[in-house]
Amino acid sequence: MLRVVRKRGYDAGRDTFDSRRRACSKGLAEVKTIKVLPLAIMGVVVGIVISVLLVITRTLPVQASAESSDIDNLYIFFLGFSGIIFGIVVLFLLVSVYRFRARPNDEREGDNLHGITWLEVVWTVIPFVIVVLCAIGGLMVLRSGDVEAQARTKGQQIHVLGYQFGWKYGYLNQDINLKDQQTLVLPVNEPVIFELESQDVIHSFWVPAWRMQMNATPGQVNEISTTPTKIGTYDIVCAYLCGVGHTGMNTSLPGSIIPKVRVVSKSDFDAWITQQKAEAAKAAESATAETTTGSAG
Amino acid sequence: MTAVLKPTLARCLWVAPAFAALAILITVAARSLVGMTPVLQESTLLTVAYIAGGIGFIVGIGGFDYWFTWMRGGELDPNDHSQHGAHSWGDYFKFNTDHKVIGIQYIVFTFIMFLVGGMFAEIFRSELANPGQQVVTNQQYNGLISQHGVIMIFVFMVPVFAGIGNYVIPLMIGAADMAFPRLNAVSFWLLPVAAFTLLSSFMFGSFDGGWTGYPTLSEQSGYGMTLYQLGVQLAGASSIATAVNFLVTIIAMRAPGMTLFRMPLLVWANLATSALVVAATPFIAGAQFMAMFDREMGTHFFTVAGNGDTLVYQHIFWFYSHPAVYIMILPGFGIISEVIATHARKPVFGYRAVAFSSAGIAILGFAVWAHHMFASGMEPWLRVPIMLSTLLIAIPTGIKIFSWLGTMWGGVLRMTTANLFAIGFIFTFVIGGLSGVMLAVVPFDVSITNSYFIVAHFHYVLFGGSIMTIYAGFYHWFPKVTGRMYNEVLGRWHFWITFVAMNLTFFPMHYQGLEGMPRRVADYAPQFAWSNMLISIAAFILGASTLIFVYNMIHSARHGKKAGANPWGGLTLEWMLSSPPPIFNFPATPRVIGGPYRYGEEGAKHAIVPEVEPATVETTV
Amino acid sequence: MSAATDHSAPQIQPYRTGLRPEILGLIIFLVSEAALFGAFFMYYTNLRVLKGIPWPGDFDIPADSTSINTLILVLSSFTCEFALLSLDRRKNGSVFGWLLLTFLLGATFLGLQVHEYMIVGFTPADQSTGAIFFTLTGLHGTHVFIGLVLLLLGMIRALAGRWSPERHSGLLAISIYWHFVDIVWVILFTVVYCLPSS
Repeated sequence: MLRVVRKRGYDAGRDTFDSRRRACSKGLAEVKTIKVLPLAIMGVVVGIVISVLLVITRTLPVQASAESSDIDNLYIFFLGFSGIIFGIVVLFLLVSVYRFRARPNDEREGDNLHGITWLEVVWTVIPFVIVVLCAIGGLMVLRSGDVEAQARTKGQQIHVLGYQFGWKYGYLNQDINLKDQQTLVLPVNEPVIFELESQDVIHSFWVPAWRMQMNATPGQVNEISTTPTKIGTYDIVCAYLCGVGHTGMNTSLPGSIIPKVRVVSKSDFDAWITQQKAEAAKAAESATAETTTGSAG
Repeated sequence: MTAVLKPTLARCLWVAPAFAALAILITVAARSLVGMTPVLQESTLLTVAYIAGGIGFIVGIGGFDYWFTWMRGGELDPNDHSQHGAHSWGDYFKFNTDHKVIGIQYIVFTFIMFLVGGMFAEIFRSELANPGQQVVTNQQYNGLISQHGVIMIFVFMVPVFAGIGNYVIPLMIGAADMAFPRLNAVSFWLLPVAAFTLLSSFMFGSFDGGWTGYPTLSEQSGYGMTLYQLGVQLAGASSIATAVNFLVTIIAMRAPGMTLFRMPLLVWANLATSALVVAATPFIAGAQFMAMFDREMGTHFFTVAGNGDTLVYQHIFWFYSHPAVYIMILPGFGIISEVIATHARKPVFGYRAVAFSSAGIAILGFAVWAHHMFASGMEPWLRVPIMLSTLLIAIPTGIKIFSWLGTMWGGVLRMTTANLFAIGFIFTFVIGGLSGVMLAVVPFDVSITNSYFIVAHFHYVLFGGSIMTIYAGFYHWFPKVTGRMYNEVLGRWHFWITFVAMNLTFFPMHYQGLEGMPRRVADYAPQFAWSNMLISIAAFILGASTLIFVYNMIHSARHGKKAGANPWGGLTLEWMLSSPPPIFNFPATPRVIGGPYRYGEEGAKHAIVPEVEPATVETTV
Repeated sequence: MSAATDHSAPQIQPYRTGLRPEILGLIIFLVSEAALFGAFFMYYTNLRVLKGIPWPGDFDIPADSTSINTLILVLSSFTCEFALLSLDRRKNGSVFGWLLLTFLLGATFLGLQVHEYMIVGFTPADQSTGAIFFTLTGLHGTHVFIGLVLLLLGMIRALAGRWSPERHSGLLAISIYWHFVDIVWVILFTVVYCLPSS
């Protein structure tokens, strides 16, 4: 009895692809007839539409500091080139899928094109230019004005102590220390430098309206400065996971016991400072009075 | 009955606890002998038990048997292939040295972990659907988001690519297996140990510091935090062992004729990734080790009280964790190159540029870690150089995207599910990449860091990036692994639902972050109510779409149409073998004679596999 | 019965590199171990070099006495090399002898380090500098301990006659590991014991 043993595991017919029809689907000439440059330009146009839509629909907090508008403009620039790049990519994707789709039972091969050097150079250089522009934009905003030095000489120096779960402020240049959960009041159009500390874990002092954020890290003092330019009350959000109460450490939550920051006119601020100093003096007086009566008793 | 004595999972059930108990005993005994309080801190004993139990698990599964024989000077038989190859489904639950078995073990296990991590997300998304607190407490919420991140990163995303690479790369380079098959198996079996360590922390109140686990919050947390620190180190060890294996395999075991520039791009991608893993992962191990010591041994690495430095943890942590994100995307890039070239029947456009860009991203990836720390209070002078290097790393990534577009252009696109995912990947990854370029710029970053803008960015690059590539890879190699075709209709449904739901889930998060919603919170201001409801609904649909995929995979693996050796007409070596391949892959060493993407070239071949003896005809009496 | 349809053994794999894969694998693994030390050196540099935090108490780090330790360890690297050389010259008895000498030198090093631990006057829980001192040197000490175990295994295999010039990659691996341990110590000694902090 003869038994043919079929060998499993290796298909001898597969080491060449002569079994597949090898006709190229299109020559380079045909590829060129699908004019790539007009398509790229159309991609830019589509991209600009997308950018405009993104810019129109942008939702940003109110611009309440000197840096806010700079950062928002930077963001608009980002949306601009992002939309354009995205538009080009998506257009080429969609056109490829439409134009080069395989037909049912299509046995053709694609173009044997391994690369076009000048094109690869172009699409390396253009993104490089874009990121250089981003770097320049970023540097310009970073260096805009020496807020920190101004704050130390003519502005406010605020000590911010983060804790689980709230903020405690002190006016270093006025020698006033606020109580827990007491509102921070600042004068408009004066530079402020915040010296952030934490007494337990890492918190983050984020005021979205000022586009300003800096961690409060235990064991070190972190500094950040800004110039509030708009009178109003603004949310302070703890942006670093600091434990069970992290969710609640956000003045924008309804019923939050943490007060927002108040920016007032210079005269209102001066009045408030005077009031705080008076209250502090009264508290000190009654404290000494108690100790004297205590020791006498 | 004898299963509990042979190297099986059943044996682990008693060996692992035995090791743990023994470790506790030794610790207590040693302390008493030296005159210290026998049990000063239960958590230390628990930690010792977990470590010993993990080792015991590997011993139980038979991971060290061969090495024990070597150590006692016993005779070794290199031709003993009893632990090699899947002869029955039971082999997938054992210590098996076949890279294809290990690859499947990795893929199935990590995918289950993906579902677990996704479940956590659905739970906290149900909390976030409405303002106020309805479903979980703040503590539980913090635990859930932390577990979600850690499980997804360490027990799904990083190892799933190890699994795909494990299966495909030895086939692609014409090797019989990986360089170190036993080490390969140990790498895999470390993952369940890591996952168990991480997930069992729920018994101790979980860990609540996010996946980043910064001190000094980590020092305050319950015991679960120590398990997080331990679990991360275990997952890291698994990852490093795999990377050593990949590097030696790719460097030393490529078939004759496969020069570096004839390697398929998946191999290039894994080469770069493995180099990253080897050089970077020990940094997170070190960071977690120090943080664990602070908790369990009372040291003061990061506490203020003992002159510790809290910030330096972030430097050490991110020195790994930034390369980690490239570890989680580079293999995916390799998969996309393979999928697009094969399904568009065109060579990869700009092969060398794509190969070099993988290497470039890997090298530059070490120079950008501090962009996670712009608002941390680190030395201000560091911010600008990091901004520049981060902006620079966008260039090689962009080159890849354009190269893939160039690959598709002029091809013959078969709109298979694999190809759909590759195309969808380009769409969503570009969005994630662009938001990344924005975040590189310091003043913008500082205005929205730690907000939902960041959550949007990394989910776009991780889900819209990595996970899309993973699905593309699964669909692409499914016929090779199972020998059957998946259901295209179900595949399309899966793709479209995933694609739409993913965008609906994560795009609105950009707006939330810009408007001032912080991350890692269980509640929010009323203005975010409608967007959170939308996102939660979309997230549930996204989760549900995964079920379509799971059903497709399981059903098609058993009842799908039989696929031949090469249903896609690929040119790389894995398609020259049967589906599934024979246990030892190639009958003889292949010879590579050209590049891997010679589509469109009349009569071109990538490699030749010398024929075995032809079908034999034999007589039986 | 039927001929093997699944070929029952892997093909003989030609290796592309001159280095044996095991040695290449070991070297790559040692890169990762170097990175592990790197993490702790990163912490140390930040603490002592950049921030200038002093040792606990008035601790004066004993660079002089520890330099003897360094010499002992460097010497042990030489004896380890001699073991390899003996193998090439097929002097199996010498292999065991040199390995034993390496082991004894390494054990002396470890003993002297333990002694130093007992006389420093602070514990790992004493401040961040105490923590990093013990962790860095302890991590190295653990590696030395593992090296000693490997040397012991090497000696056992030497006694069992398992090494030969053709089958020496295990011994080569042990010696490369031992050299690595030595190099890390030289760096550690220089940075921690010798360099003054700012």
